[in-house]
Amino acid sequence: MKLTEILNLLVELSKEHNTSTPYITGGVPRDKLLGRLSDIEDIDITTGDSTVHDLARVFWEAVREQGGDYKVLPDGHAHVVIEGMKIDFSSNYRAPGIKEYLQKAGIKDPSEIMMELYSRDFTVNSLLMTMDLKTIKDITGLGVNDIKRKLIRTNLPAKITLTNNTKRVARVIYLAAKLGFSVDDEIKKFIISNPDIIKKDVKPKFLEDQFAKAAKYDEDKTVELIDELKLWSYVHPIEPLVPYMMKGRL
Amino acid sequence: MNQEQIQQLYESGEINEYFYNQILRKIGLLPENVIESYIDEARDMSALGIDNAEDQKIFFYILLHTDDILKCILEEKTHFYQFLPQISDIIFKNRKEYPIDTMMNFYMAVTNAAEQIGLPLKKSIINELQQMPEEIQQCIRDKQAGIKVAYPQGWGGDNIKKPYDIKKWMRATRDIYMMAEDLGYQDAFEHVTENWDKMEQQDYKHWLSFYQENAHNKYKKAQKVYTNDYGYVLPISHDNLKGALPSPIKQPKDKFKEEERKIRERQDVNDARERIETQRSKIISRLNSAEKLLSSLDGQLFAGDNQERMLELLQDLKRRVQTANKLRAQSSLFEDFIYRTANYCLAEGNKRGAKFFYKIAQEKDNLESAKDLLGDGPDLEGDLEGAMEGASDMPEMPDDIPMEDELVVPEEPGKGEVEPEKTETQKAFEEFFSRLESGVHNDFDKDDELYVDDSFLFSTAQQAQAPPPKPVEPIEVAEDPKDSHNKGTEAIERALSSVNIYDLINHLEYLSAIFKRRELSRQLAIADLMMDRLGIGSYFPSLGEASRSALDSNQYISTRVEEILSKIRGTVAQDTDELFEPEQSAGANELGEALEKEQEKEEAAKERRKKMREQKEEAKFTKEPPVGGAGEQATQELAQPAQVEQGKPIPTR
Repeated sequence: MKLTEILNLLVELSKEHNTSTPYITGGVPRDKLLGRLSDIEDIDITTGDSTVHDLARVFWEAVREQGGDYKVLPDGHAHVVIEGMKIDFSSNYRAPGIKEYLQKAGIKDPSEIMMELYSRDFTVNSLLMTMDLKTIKDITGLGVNDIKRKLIRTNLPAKITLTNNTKRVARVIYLAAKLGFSVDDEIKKFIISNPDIIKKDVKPKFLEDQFAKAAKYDEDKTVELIDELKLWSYVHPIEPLVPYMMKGRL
Repeated sequence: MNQEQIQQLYESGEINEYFYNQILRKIGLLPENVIESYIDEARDMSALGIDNAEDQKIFFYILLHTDDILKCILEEKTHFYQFLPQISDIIFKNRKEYPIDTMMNFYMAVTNAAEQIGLPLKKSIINELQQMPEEIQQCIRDKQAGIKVAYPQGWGGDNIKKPYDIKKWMRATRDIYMMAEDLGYQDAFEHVTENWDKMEQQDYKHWLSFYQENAHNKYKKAQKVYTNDYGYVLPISHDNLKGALPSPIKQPKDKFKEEERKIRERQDVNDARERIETQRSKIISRLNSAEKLLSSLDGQLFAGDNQERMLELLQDLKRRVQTANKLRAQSSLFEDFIYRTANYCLAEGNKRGAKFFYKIAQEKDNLESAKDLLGDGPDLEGDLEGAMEGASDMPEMPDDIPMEDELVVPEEPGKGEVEPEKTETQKAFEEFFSRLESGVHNDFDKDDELYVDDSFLFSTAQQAQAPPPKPVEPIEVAEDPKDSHNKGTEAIERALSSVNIYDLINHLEYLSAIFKRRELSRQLAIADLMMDRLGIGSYFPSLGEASRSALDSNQYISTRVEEILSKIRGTVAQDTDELFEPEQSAGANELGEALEKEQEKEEAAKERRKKMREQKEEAKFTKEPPVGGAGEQATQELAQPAQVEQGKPIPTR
């Protein structure tokens, strides 16, 4: 199935089952603006509210005869793999207290999609693309600018975003290495003063994977960041990084 | 630092080849201070003999974890960081004698290194080390050195601590079982063991399943003694005793009463069963006589064209009486069978046959009940007369066929009338019916004790029903054929006028039960066994084919009926009010509509699947690039230009 066919099917199913309008989010709109389309690993879909779970299910039922895999992961998001293409359906995560936070920031009545986007990890991952691939929307107003500036920055204060999901700490390094971006000072300051947060509620295997992938993309950038953030004590001896592991760094 | 300087270091032996290559790769890429620091470390590691990635990995493992272990084993507030490199070196050098492949071994290695340096260990550690007998310590050292030893002798193992607290596990088990009712077993398990160590959690899980599976009782131990109910120990099993043992101990009265009551109940049940068996055998013999009579010439004259059908019903009745459930039966069961057969005859329009069977059942009131069944239909007796008239036109039927009226006991001769001379046939029938009457009279008396209160038996035999009657064939009498057909149709119309969905469901369930029992196949198998017994099985191979076909058709029909039943059940609303008002047959239209809608949905889904299959087939023949991630095609599709709509940034900090 072509990508456009998949997207058209999703739009049809969304209308048939009265879900909210689906959008592409995550890496695809970001990589499109960066011109890095060959690096796309999966397509992230969101509707902004819990109807995304219904959409995932009905999409699976519509394409199940063509084989593939449907799975709901522990964090609540579902994915459908069809003909090698992975379609990730958002978990519709909301940061605790996000509505009140946005109201304090001046948004009287934040919409569902706005709350979901601000609950995401980084500004560069919070863009929306319409299903016809013709329009990219930056609802937060921060994503496009940060892509231009090549900066990894959180939607909410770093303390909130990184504490809500501690896996995002390792992802800072991974994304920075993958995209060749720099890391916002606020994030660096927070990690340096709370280094233990990188391993809190995170499996060692996940950390190893993130560091290994980051080193694969850009070894030097990875080492530079780990040095700067003083995270060597938390880095397991994985192959590309072992030569850099020294007593002085621990 | 440049390449030449690095080469000099290598040639002088300060760094080995492994680190020389590593450093060469990093020159120019890393900052200068980092390179220098790396060279210092490379010197130290080369001195330690580290010349491959594996050893380097081990070295850094030691560096990573040694301080945590030291914090556990050393006395509090001991400053050990200045000794850390030394300790790491000792651990690394002694890694063969004190390997670090397991947590326990790592602890041992660190403890050994700390002892060598002279750092103060915690008292509990010292106590454990001291308490461990020398033999055990030697065993551990020997094992680590690869020397095989036997288990230590003369040591009871009392000092070995249990790895886990069993009492804690028992408490946890109790909590899990208490919570499992509300949360479910898995959630309760996770909740109770939430903060446990992972290893302990796993071990606990295995321990629990060991006992849950009753694996501790897997191997039966030899049992040499048995106890009886009164606590005596016997050298043999209860099963070997033929009689109950007397007991000198007086049991409480209640227990005796309870036992007596049980024994009495059992006897009652057995008595009832015996009596029912006696009744059954009497009825069988009566049916045999009736069959003989009906298959004789007189019987043919009596029954006319219905002889074959009546014989069939009689044989079927006999079979049902023979194969009725002997464990759970009511005494009125056989009566019901006979009545049912009579009713079938009546439904088919064979009133003569019906009376025949009613006679067997010896219910004289049936004449009136038959009239009720027919409603405003013709009088049964009138029909008899009509039948008589019709019968006289038939060449084969003599005029003196005895009918109900004629079978009534004639008036006494004392009244002055002369008894008409009876024909042989009449005499035979009179004798037959009198035999039936005299034989049955005492058995079907409602006050008879045979009517057993079987509330403690679960009677399911009542559900056994005779097969539905064959389609009505026109009777060869001098009546207008149209009239008889109309009567048959009217009878059918009347019977079906009050049918509703639930009747249909019940009937289908009944049919499903019949096919599930595989009665036909079973009876054929019985016939096969009989033939084999008589030594004639080999002459009738077609019976095997018939059995096979019976099984196949049985399965086919059973499956189809089940499908129909599930569809109908699924489309009927489960409204409990409807269950109590079965006479309303209003659900038929809705059922039809619901079935139609379902069919349309299925067809739409089939169409969709067919379309997708065709698309898939087409795609096979078009060359598409291999897809990985989003695929090349997706890449091309995404490459088209897009408009960017940027919103106003909101200050969230």
